[in-house]
Amino acid sequence: MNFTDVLRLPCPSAEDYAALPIYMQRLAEDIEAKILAQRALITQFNNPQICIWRGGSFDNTFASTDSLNFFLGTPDIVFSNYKVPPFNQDPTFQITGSLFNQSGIWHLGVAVLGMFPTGATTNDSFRLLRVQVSKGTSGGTSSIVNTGRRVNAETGAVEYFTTEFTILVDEEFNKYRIDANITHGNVASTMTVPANGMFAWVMRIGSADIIEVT
Amino acid sequence: MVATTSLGLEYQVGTDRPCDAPGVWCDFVDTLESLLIPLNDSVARLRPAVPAAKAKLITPFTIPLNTSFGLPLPFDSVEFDTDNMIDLTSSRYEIKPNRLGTYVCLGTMKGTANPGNNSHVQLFINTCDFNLDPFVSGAGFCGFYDSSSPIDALATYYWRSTHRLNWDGTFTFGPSLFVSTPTAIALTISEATLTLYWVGD
Repeated sequence: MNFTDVLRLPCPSAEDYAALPIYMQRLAEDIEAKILAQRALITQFNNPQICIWRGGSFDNTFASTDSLNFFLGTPDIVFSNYKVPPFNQDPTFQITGSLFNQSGIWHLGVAVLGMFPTGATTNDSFRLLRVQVSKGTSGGTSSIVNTGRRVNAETGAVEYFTTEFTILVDEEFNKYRIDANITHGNVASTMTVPANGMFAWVMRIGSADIIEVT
Repeated sequence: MVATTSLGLEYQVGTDRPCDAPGVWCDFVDTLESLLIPLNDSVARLRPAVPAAKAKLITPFTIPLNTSFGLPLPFDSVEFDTDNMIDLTSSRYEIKPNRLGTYVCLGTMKGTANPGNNSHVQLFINTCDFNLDPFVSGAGFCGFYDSSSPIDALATYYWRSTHRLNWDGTFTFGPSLFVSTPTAIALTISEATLTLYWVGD
């Protein structure tokens, strides 16, 4: 049997004439395997891991001594095309549960779609959205990313926050957790975020390997 | 008489001699290989890795008062770089793509700012070629920015700016990160990042 130089596709020699059916079967299986591999790569490019959450109803207002935490899970998912191990669950955007299902470079974003005081406003009081990605290690927890948005509110206006960032996730992707919360300094009254006012998304960009084809 | 498909794949027809089949077969797989290799290369451009790089400034960096036009941030570390886009030994101010195409640019910054009489600090991504020197001024600058809310208290603030870049390879320098501060604000940056990743030709 002969083979092509690069992809090693089989073709018969003259003395293999009697074995043509077997060789044809092997050729067909080789072609199929290579096409399926290409299809998998293209599918991953066209359909990278993405999850989008929009927060549920937040009935409770919170004071300047408290915080409002993001707990976005299955009921809040607007769109998701991946699950996380080990139990094939939906990804969660909160301090417990897993967010990533693969190592590589990920792009994440958070938005708070309006936050406002329920009563009087303390002039120049802050509103702070903080997002931290951390990884559990044998020595405790290692902070990977700290980001957020701080607003100094002059009046009782509705405030909007957005932040986004990229992160390199290693092979221990199941050890990463995300902690997002809002605090404020409005002592004159409590603050509230409207129902469905929390929005978050993640998208995998690709692996961190050096590219082979420019 | 050997026939071919529109892509040039050889096959036998009924009038061909069966004993010629091995030769036709080998012509077939040679042609098939020549078709699959470019397809493999094309697919390999998309996954598993695409050009993506993230430069960081993690050494505390102070922006002087009244840097009204802007100061470029000197990166000191690399978080990831899949296409040799960052070379801190030759330039600490840029990420320069190698593959042509469209890129997402994302800049982030975290820093401590003093009370500034309700003034703003701005973080820019400069996507224009700064020709000879990253310390550009006036006409050499174009950017897309994020502005902090009025800074009324000493605290840690966060900025982020995003932009799409069409990189055609004609620029001498790649995108950079700029910070502009008004008269009354002193800013100490604890971390700044610039990410570029390719999304298409």
